[in-house]
Amino acid sequence: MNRLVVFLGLIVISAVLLAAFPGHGAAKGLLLLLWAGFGFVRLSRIGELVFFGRLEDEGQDARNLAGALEANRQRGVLRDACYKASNAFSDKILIWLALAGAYGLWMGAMVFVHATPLPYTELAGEMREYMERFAGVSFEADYAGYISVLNDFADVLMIALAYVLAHSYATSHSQGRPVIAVGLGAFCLSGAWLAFSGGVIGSSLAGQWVGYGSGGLEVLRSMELIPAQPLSSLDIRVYEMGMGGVIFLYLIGVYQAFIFLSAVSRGKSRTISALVGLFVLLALALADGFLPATHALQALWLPGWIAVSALSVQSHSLGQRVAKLRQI
Amino acid sequence: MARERRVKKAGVAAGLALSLLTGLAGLCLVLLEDPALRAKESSALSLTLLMEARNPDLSADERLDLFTKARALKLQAVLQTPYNPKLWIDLGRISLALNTPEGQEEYRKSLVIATTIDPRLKPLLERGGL
Repeated sequence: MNRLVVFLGLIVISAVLLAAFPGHGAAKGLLLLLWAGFGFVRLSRIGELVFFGRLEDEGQDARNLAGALEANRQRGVLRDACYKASNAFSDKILIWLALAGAYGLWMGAMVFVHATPLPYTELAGEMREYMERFAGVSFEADYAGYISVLNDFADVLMIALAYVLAHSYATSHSQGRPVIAVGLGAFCLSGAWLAFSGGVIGSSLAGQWVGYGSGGLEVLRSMELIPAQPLSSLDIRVYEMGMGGVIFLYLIGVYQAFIFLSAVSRGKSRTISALVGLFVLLALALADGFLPATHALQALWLPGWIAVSALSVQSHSLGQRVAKLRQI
Repeated sequence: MARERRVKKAGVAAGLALSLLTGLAGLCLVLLEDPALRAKESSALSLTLLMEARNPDLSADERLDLFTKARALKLQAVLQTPYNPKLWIDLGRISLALNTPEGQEEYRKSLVIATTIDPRLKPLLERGGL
């Protein structure tokens, strides 16, 4: 239970920090380190216990009978919890991760495959020559947009890891419900705050397949090649990742919607979970298209996807089915 | 059963890899400084000096000194974010303002680089008479 409290705390802290310090590289970096540390400890524990059968002593005094029995009971509880959590790892989550990976690859590719194909080697040569001749400095131009790419990658990695961890808790009903409640609560609060503070804008898709890479928007804006008015995340994605990026990202949402739809009308509680999940997905899509894009939007995506992840497991009731099988 | 176990193993392994990648990205974000921020600072300072150079009370030498300093700052910004065509155009304009043959050559060269970065600038610059 303690680790669940840490997980819930991490969701709340992340939502608050991401909303309060949008675009602050170091704050986001620290959050990523916290998520990575927590994820590594949780997943390595599950892996160790389920696949290698190792159990650590939970600090009970095994020299007397009561202590030995208590230690044994705790190990049993831990083993059951880890087995239950391992049921989260099905084909569905692997496909979801593969789709997220495809989006990440596309994002990385946009740095190298520019909308207007640049002769980068030639250009770097020209820049070097310029600097040597007019400024007297030797200079090697590497791609300076790497921080923007790293920032975008960091967002995807954080959401994917949170999705996996929420999955691992949601196989248990008693642990899944608090995760859903906190995820939904943080999602609704962030959504309301962002909608009221930033207002709602229209979305106008510029139909190009290949984008200008992460951070390209700033350059295009400084050259007044695109309007200065606030844009939605969807519009920015079209400029930076092209329509390809939009399709890759929305494919994850469509797949998730398919998971929910396949659970509808399979019992009351599963249907409710699936419908709430579909509603959150729809809200995420609307926020993507109609809220002005700021770094603070990550405070909406993260709890939103955590809630979707937990609801996805609960709508298929994996935990319940396996628990019944284990009783048999 | 064996397949299910393999899938679970793959899932846990993917999750662990994801944790490591997330940690690595976090470490990079904590340790690395955004070059665009430094470029913005240098660019803003350069602009301040150019505004000062407009002062009609300044002598020709003082004005030249301000232009030279502004050019050095803009150059720093370009070194930080070399793929921003706007900075190259600004740098070229300052060099042109120095009123030397080398400055004109520098101006021409910087426009070539800016339009190589983004060819769509060509008609835009031509329209602006640059």
